[in-house]
Amino acid sequence: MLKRAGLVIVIPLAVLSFGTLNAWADGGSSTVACQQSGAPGCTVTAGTSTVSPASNATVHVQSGVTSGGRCTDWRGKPVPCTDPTWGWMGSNGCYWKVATDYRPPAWDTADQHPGETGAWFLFTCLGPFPGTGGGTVWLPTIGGPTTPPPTPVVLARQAVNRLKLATPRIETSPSGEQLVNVPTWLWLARSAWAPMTATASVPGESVTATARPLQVTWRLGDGTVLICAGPGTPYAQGRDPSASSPDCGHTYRRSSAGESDGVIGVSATVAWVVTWQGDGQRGSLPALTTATTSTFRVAESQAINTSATGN
Amino acid sequence: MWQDMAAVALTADYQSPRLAQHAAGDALSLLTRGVYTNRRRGVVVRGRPATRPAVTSLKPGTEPTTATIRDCFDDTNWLNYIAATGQLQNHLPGGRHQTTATVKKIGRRWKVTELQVGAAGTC
Repeated sequence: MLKRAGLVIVIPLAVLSFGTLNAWADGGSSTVACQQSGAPGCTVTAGTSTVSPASNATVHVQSGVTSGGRCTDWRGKPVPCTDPTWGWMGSNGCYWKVATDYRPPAWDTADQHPGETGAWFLFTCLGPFPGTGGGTVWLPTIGGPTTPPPTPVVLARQAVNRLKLATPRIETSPSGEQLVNVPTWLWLARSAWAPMTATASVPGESVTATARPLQVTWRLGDGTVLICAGPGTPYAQGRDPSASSPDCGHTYRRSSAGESDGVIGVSATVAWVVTWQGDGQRGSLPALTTATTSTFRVAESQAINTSATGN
Repeated sequence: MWQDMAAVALTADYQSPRLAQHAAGDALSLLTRGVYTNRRRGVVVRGRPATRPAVTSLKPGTEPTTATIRDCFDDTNWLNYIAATGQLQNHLPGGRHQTTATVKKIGRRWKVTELQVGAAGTC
């Protein structure tokens, strides 16, 4: 018997030998072919190739069944250890999932299992035609509940929870007070603007989530909502102070002197696109955001505001 | 039994009591699980199965209650379709299956209680 940490399920070979693909997949009679125990010559076949284990072998219905946690099909080709549709790969080359909704009708007396520890499983054997070979079996469970391993999507969510996205830090030019009618350059510290990754794994399966910063939404306190496609360009010493930022700037037209405390509240929210990949699959997850707030003091600027009437 | 199965497999209704009209015991379980598996996969079976059954034994000799039947079951024209699209599930052909069944008299009815269906091409 194959054993790994966690649940081990033992199945007599004959029980597995249901639904030869070359029969099941084509003709309806194969719904019953080989499922019965003790049927001679019955194997779980995938097309012309037999993938069933040796006679009297047991099958380990758990993910990550091969050494190193790699899963392969009947030709030895690597396949995902879990599949969103078919379940998780067992050591017999078939995907397994718990058939939670199977309720054999009352007159099907041979398949009632009152008081038994076990579960119905739907298994699907890989072959030239995915999703054809296999069937439904009752398996007594040994050593605990039948918990399938997490799907890649579940792992991806775990990985996302481990992402440590840095809080953005607001930088401006002018660096202190903002000045009415003088272009304000807005940018975020570059240290917080880079893809971040995190990985979640179980034996035989690993998923990496990546968050990439997409855009910044600036709420500038005077009613302006500015969306910048990047972190913004830092102002470099020596540039014309009357020039606007090439990609993320704003010019205040009113002083904040009339506001409470003489300042206005400003926020910057970064949207992150989240993708994941692993176990031969990839996908995306809802965007994440990080945000920070600050206050700006906006002052009149007599020196530059030459065209103003002044006060 | 196969006619019951064909009728039920047409809609993949594994809860249909019709499966139990001519099957019981392990054979009924096989049919029920098979139809359930089809249901989960969105598969229905269309067409007409062909049978050529022959009784190979009857026990006891007088007033028999158990019979063994041998058949060359043919599902060449009884094929799996994807219910949602109406397309054949794949392009594999059907075939003839060496089949044996144990039939028992249950009450006033004969029912298949054990069933072994071989792979396509076995007869």
